[in-house]
Amino acid sequence: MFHSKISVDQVCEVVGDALLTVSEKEALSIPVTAEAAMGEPAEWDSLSFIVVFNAIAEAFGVELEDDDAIHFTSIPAMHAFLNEIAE
Amino acid sequence: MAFHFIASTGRTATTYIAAALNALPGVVACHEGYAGSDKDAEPLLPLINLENARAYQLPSSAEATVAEKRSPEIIADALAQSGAETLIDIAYYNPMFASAMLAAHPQAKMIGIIRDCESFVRSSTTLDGEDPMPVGWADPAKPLTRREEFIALGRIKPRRKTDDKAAWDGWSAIQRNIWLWRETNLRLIEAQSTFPERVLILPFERLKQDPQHFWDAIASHLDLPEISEKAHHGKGKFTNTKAFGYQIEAAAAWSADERQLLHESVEQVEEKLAHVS
Repeated sequence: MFHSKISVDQVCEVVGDALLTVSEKEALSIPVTAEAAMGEPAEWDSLSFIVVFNAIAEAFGVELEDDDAIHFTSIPAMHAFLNEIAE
Repeated sequence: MAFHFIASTGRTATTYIAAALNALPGVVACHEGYAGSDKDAEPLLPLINLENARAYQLPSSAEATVAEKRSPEIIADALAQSGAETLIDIAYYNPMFASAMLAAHPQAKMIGIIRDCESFVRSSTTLDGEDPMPVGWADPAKPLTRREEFIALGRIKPRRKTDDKAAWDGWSAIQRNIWLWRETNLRLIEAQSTFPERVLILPFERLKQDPQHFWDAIASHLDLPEISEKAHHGKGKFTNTKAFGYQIEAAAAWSADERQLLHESVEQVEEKLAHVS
């Protein structure tokens, strides 16, 4: 479990890298920004969702349960959730 | 302008029903958000998946999801976009939002379709291979594709700190799908108990045994034009479209624990159903 606050840029970077890997593209349709959500970029869809979910768990050393998935449909929700469980 | 919805566990010919209703004049019927089940087009209604599991875990969240994704404004926009006078939303996730949707849409009516438990479990349980319509829980040992994994995240499972949650990891896919059947159908019965005049529950088996009676009941409850079974016969997908068919035997071949859970769950649902009917 991490203890320091996670920045939104860190979350965007992990999500962006995961989407690039799973989509096997050199660049995403649009960058992953602090406002990004499933569908924007297009590569963030139901098939890549689980890759993003697992990448976040690994990158930040958090143990996620299936019930937590609801917080992983947008960067703002994800960022808020990660910092909430870190407290 | 009218909005109604149909709710069930899934594996109740909802794709076929949506296609038949969508063919009626002045009606647009969505199957899981897509008008007429056309998954190649943009969805007419916002998609719901993960919110389904959350609504079971945290029933109070259903109101927020309805406000965000099935509000009167969203329904009005969808009706305007489609040019129809009546919108019917048909989905496996509607049971978890039934009461919240009926409360948010005071003129809306609901139809719940309940399938025989044993046949639902046989139809929804996958032991191997990718399930193209993963309504139910797969064998715990079966590797899931990303699509199956995502859909599973939105499927209801027992609440934390309950006896069912404690038993869950040791349950077979058959037991998990009996539980899924019970909990989903209890939500339909709960909605009927709360809104008795606005909720009609139909047995799925009637669609096979007496199809015109099934369609007449839908048309009457939702104030729709006559639906002719003959007009739709053969046009829809009222068949088990899983390429590999059923992967589990009939209940007589299930374990004693599975048969006991089946018996208890059917009894519980039938008792509640008899109480509200």
